[in-house]
Amino acid sequence: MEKYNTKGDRTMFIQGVGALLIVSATTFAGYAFFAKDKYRLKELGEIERGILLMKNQISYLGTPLAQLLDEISWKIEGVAGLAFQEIASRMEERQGNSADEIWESTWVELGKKSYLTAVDLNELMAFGRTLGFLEKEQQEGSMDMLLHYLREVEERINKRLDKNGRLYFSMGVLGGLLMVITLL
Amino acid sequence: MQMMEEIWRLLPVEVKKRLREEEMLNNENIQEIRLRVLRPLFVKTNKNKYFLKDGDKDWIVMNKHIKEAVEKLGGYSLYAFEEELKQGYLTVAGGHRVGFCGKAVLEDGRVKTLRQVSSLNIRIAGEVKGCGERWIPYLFEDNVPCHTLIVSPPGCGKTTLLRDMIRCLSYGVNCKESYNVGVVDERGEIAAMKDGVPQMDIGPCTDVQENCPKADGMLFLLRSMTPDIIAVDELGKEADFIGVEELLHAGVTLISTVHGNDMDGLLRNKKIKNMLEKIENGRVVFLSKKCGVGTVEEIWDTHGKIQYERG
Repeated sequence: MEKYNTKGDRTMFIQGVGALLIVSATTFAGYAFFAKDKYRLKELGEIERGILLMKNQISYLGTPLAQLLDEISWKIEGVAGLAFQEIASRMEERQGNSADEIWESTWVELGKKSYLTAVDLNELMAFGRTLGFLEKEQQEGSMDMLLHYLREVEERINKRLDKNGRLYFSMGVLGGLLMVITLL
Repeated sequence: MQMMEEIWRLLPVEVKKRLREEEMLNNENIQEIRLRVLRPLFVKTNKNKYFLKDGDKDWIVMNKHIKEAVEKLGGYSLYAFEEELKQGYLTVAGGHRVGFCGKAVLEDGRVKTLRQVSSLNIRIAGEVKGCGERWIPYLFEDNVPCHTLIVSPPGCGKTTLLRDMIRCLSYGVNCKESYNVGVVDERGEIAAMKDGVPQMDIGPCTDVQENCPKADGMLFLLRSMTPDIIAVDELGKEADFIGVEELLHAGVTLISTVHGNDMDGLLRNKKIKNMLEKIENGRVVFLSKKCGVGTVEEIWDTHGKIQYERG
C-alpha cells in the first residue's frame, strides 16, 4: 500500500513538473515575442542616436567619417556602437574600395548578431550607398531619409508593444495552461 | 620611406601594386604620380619620367581607379574637403598634395565643387634636411633675421626649402641663437601634422597653426605665441598681404614663399611690390630646377643689391 502511494505521488510530481515546464516554455515564448521587438526598438534607437550625432558632426564640423564614427562609437551602445567602431577602423586603414563597401560588409557581419530585420538592414545598406562621395547637403539629405525610416519604425514598434506587450505574456501563460489541461 | 607609406595606403590597390613593383625594380624614389582616365599612368621619379608599362603596352588608368583613389584620398568623406576641392587640390596625411581636375559645378558663377574627376596629380612631399643650412647666414643682417621671400615657379622646392629654414632657425643652426618660429600651415604641407604632432622635422621651438587661413593664422600666432619669426607658404590672396602688413608693423620677421620667376616678374605683381617696398631689411631668394630641384639662383636684398648669385 505504501509502495503504491509512493508511485502515485511520483506520477503527480512528474505531471506537476511537466505542467510547470509547459507553462514556463509558453510564457517564455510569449516573452520572446515581446523581447524581440523590445530589443529591436533599442537597437534602432541607438542607430538613430548615432545617425543624429553623425549629422550634427557633418553639418557643423565637417569631420571626416573615420574620425566621427570612432568618436560616436563610444557614445552609443549595442550593435550600432560595434558597427560604427569597426567601420571607423576599416576606413582609417583604407581597407575598402569605397565607404559603401566597408559600411555594407560590416553591417552584413554584425547584422546577424542583432535583432534588426532584413528590412532594417536593407535601409542601412541603402544609406551606406550614399556615404562618402556626396557633398554636405546631399549627405544630410540621405541621413534625414534614414532617420525618417528609423522614427517611423520605432513609432510602429512602440504602438505594437503598447497594444500587444501584455497580450504576448497573457497568451503565453494561457496557451501553456490550455496545453496542460488538454494533456491532463 | 615613412612619408611614402602614407601615400601607399591611399592609392588604389592595383596602382599601388604596379608602382611598388616598379619602384623596387628601378630603385627610384617616386616624386609625382599622375592618373588620367583611360590614359597611361605617369610617374616622375628622382631619376626619370615615364609611363608605366604592362608588358609591352602602357598600363592604362581606368575610371574605377580614379574613383577609388578619390574616395581613399578624401578619407571616404568628400563633404569634409569641399573647400579644398573648390581650390582643386587636397593635402593628405604626410603633407602630400593631390591636385584634381574634373567637371566644375558652379553656383552664382563660382566653383562650388568638382564632379567627374578625370585627372589626379599626386605630389609626394619631400623632406630634404640640411638644404637650407647653407643659406641661413644670408638671411641675417647685423645678427637680426630679415624678412625673407622665397620665389620660384611651381615644383622647384620652395616649401621644402622653407621647411628646412624653419628647422634651422628653430634649432639655431648657422645662427647665433634659436628662434621661436610660428608656422601658419594652411594646407598642412609644411609640418604635415597628424594628431597634433608634426610629421616633418620643423625644430623644437616651432608652433604650428594648421588648417587656418594665412591672414587669420598670422594674427592668431602673433597674439597668442609671441613668435620671433612667422613662416607661411604661398602668399597670393589679397587677405594674405593685409595680414603680412599687420605683421610687418608688429616687428616680427616673416619668411614666406610666392610663385614667380625673377625680380622683374615679381615686381610686376603690385601686391608683392607694395610689400617689398615696405620692408626695410629683406631678402628675396630665387630658386630654379637648373641643377636639380631647389637650386638657389640668386639672393637679393630689398635695396636691390644681389647678395648671392650662382656662378
